[in-house]
Amino acid sequence: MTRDTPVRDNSGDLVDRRSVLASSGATITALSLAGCLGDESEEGTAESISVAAVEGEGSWFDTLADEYLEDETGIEINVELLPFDGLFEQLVSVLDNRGDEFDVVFMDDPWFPRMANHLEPLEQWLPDGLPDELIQSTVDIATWPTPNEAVPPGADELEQEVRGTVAVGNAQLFAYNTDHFDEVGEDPPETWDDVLEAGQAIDSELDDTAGFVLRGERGNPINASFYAVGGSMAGRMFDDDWSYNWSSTEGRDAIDLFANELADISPEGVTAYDSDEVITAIGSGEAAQGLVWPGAASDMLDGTSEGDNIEFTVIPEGTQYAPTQGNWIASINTYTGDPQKRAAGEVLQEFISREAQELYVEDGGVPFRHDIFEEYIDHEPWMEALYNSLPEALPRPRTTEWNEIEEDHGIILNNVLTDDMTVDEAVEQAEEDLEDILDRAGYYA
Amino acid sequence: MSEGTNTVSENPIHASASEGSRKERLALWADEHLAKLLVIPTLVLLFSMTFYPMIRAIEMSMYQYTAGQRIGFVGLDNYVNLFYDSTWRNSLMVTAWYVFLSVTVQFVVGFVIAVLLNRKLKFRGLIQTLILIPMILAPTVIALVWRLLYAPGGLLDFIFYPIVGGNVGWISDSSIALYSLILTEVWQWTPLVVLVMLAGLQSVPDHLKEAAVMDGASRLRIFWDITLPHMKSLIVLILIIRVIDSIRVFDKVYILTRGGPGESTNVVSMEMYRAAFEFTNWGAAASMAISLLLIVLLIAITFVKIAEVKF
Repeated sequence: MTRDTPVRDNSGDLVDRRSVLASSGATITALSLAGCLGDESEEGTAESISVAAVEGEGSWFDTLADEYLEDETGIEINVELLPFDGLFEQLVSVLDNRGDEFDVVFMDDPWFPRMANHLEPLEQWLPDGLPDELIQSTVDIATWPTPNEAVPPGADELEQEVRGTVAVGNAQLFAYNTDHFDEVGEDPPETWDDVLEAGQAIDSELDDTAGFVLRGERGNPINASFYAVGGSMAGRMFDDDWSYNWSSTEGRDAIDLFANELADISPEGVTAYDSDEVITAIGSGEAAQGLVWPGAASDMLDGTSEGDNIEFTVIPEGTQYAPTQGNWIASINTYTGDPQKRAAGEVLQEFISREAQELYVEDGGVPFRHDIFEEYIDHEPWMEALYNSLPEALPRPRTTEWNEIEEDHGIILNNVLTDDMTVDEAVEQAEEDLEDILDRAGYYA
Repeated sequence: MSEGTNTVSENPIHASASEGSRKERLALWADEHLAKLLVIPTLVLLFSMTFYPMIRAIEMSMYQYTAGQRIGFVGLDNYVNLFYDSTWRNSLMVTAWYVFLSVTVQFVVGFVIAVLLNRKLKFRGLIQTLILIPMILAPTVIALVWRLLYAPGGLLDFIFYPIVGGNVGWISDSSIALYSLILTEVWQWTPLVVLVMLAGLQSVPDHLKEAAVMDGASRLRIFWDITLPHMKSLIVLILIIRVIDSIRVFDKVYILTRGGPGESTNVVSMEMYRAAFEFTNWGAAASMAISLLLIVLLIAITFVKIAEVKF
């Protein structure tokens, strides 16, 4: 058969190859164009959105999406839960490459400065705007540049805009075992001196009970654990000019208290402890007191031998009251399409509503609205302490270099914990390393 | 073209003769170039999966990055900075010690087990199969299992309590943690050495050993002069494989110690991971990767040269 030989189709009509090719080509072109135009349409609201969230704390949002948000908004919400490190890697990969794989992204608040340029100013996509009931510190931490905080170079000329909404209203709390305190005749701790005194008494007088427990693993665990001690005893880690602040006498005292005195009354092997080990130690009664995030507090209370004896209070004071803020923030990816942004705005608006937050708290979520705290103040043993902490809580430094700073500082603290460094050596090393990191990033130019 | 086609179609004899000769030429050409043609897909894959990423890594290593953003060309500065970076130097030392100890122990223990298994033993097949189990488990599973074993008050503490009179900081004591990692590595990869060495031992021709016995050679002499030289290529091969693999260790360190306590188990792959995925300093991470590649190449070439082996 030659190229233009006519053939009969099933209906008996004559068709030639050229017309078959022409009509096929036209159909493919039309379909492709329709497909492209369909994808690029910026009208309307998307029927579904994709959300990247963290395992653990993000599962409360996932549950609420299934239980309530999808029905209320009519939008399908596909939540992908990723482990902590994996989520950061995914966000960096997607956002740095201007990807639209996720429409809404959850992030730990120290990541926010690193991601802020990739996040959509939120209020334009919220049909009713931000509710007044949100605790102001949780709005500030999702604002870029963050109000009342040192600002990185390049961000100082930007207009302050809210680029996310709080999703988990964590602030660090202090947990202690009332039984152990009663046995040695100590009152609940209000200052770090009280903590040390009670801890030493418990450690020496009670069998098989450590006076304190800390997260000693290098990097984020030990640094997050120390931050509350450093903040309350020596103020902010950096001053407004990004000079390391904890090289002061108060800073040295804070490191000494944490990595020497409190470590001495902590369980064996604490240099490798992370959050799970701390929760197990306090929940089982192996340790009498320690720092915890509310998001993980339930694991300490439910099904543990000492759950009924554990109480929560605000972070003890040193020279000042400085609880550490540790919120999870949900933001809209700026590289996704307008229909997805509209849908994401509707979902986030519904998520922070009073009705949704009531269900959220009942499912175990950590709240961030005044009215929810007031209504549910007795719902969890840690709720009152959190409500007293969150409005006053201080965020960790708002710098794009936080991961490197935290890792470096965490290694140095871990070295003091393992007796491989003295406090003075640690402070000198920290000052040199951290200011070098910031210098390389142009903070002193 | 369309004119030619029409002419051919109008003259069937010419058409079939011309088509026949074209097919013949095509067949001849294909026959002549078949080998090269078959290599093309592999070359394309090799280039896209190996050479292109390597070239990109070299390019990235010459730029400065801040918070994932490329700031500017810095030439070899990232490499120079590595020399002055005490953390990187320490991670190289930790990795060197880790590789030296773990590969040495794996090789010695593996060789001894292989020699024992090369004899007539009851249940030899079963023993061989059981020995291979650690090797076929996923590294993350192995690390998680060993994390439980190393936990304070865990099984290992229970076993060692009568000897040391207390818990051992398997992964929490900076003077012990690296050896705990090495123990895990040895447990997992000694079976591979056993497998390869056993294959080598079984491939030594019997007639050579019989001839040596008839000449009155001792067992040690036979082993030294016949068995070992015969296995030289395999020994070099397994050492290269294990050294390269150990240098790249990441999963166990990540799960068991994250490089701590302090910097006691901070191997180069952990340092690279942090630079790339936590600090998003792609330039520094790429310069570390390229430096490591050069070190591995140097080691592999040295091995082959010293042993005068041709694969």
